[in-house]
Amino acid sequence: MAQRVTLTKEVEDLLKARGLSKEDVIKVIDDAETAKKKFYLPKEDKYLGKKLIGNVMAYAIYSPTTEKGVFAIRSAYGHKIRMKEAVRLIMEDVQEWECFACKEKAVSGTIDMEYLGITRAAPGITCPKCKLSFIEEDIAIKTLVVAETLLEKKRA
Amino acid sequence: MSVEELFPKTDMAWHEKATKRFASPFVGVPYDRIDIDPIVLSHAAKLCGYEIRDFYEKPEFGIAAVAYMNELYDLLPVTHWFYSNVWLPELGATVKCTKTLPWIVQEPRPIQKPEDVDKMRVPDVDEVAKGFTFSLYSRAYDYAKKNLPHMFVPIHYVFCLYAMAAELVGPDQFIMWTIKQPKLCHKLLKKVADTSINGAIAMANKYGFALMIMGGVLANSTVLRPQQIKEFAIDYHRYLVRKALKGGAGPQLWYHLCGDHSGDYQLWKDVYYTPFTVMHIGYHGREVFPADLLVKEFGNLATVMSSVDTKLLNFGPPSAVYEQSKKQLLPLKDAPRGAVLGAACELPTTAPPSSVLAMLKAAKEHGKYA
Repeated sequence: MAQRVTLTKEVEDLLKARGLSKEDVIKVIDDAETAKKKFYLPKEDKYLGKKLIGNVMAYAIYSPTTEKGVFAIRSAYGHKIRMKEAVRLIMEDVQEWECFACKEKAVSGTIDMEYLGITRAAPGITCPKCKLSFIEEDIAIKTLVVAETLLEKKRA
Repeated sequence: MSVEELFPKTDMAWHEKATKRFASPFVGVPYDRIDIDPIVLSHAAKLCGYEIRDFYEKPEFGIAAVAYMNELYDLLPVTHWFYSNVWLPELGATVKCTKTLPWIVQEPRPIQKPEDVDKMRVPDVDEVAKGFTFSLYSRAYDYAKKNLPHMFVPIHYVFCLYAMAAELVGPDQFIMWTIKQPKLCHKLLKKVADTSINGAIAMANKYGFALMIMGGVLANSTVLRPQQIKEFAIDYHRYLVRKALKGGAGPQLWYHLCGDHSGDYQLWKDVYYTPFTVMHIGYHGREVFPADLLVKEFGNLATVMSSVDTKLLNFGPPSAVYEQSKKQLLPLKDAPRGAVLGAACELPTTAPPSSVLAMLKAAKEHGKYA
């Protein structure tokens, strides 16, 4: 079921700048809400969901609103590097995000990523119980975007 | 004569081949052979007929000299210029070069008593960008960007945060504090890390990105117990990398673990890894860190950089350098995310060229990809 969402002009501009549409973000939220595969940030009342859309792993950060079934999109981002699996968890490096399904605090760690047939590592956050993993916004839009460009350039 | 006039132009045919070789570990496409990086620094100045202090006091000359020697030796297609005592004048230290030494902290050190740690203020990004360290690095990078753009990579040099904190206090005193006043050490390490993070952000703001070089130098198994290395070094490097990446630095990371890491190397798996991370370990006890162990432990996390003993590079003979290079090269061919053969630390200034050439000969004969 398509979620109902709200977003500010600022967030709308951000989505545009990052090459994502409102519809893309709705799909991400749909997936996260249906499967309950999402992280939750209690102190800010925010959820983090993800979905592969085309060749982009898209993420949405969103919050419930006072109106039942309506979510406010806080941010969205994506990366082309394909996420494979968490290969190492740093159990002591506990994060503020927690797994919605497992109620476990996420930990940082190393996630294998694949791009242009090349497997390399990236820092991510993972639920230590179900291993659901996410790449945080700043890592995706800064580290991974530059990495994608460098891999494309070096491969050329 | 200006620095621009000192060296012939780069042979771009060489550069094209060297670039393909350099890129190969990161993109999973083997080129001809394993790359060699003996970490040439003031050695380049010496071979060009200059003094060590010329290298460190004239960053434009230093970075150009390394570029030139990298080409003549057939090493990396990128150049670099760095020294160890970084971001310390920003925290009150006075540094000075001598004829034979790079920038060294002068007495009296800025922290004489524990209260001085509380008084120490972390400069913000703008202040760091106007400071001594950033200005020196900017001179090197501005020169390279303008005159050697094909060899230019901006580098944020973190070095060893534990060693940097120790330089502010005095190494002996700081090691005593590690044992007797750990909270004080933590307070200082946080300030040192935050200053370096601001340096990384300033570098990324100016040049678009910044390869970060960091690791355990004084924080090694000879000086500290593994638990202390975790607490006083690894945790801070993780803190630094996370914040610096957030600020736009990276995505390249080079962990340089100098000295003996026989007791703590496993712990370095718990740092952050990006798609362009190199893990370089110098020694296991008194011996160079075995390449097969490096590949086994870190080959699935990063590109690995194996080592040839710096004493051997300095004193030879070339036959022994060749044999050790061969021994270290063979396991590197199986490194799943690529490999580089380097020196355990900076190539000694007085190392004879025959040592570097022996490494090259070994790479050409035993470091070829199948």
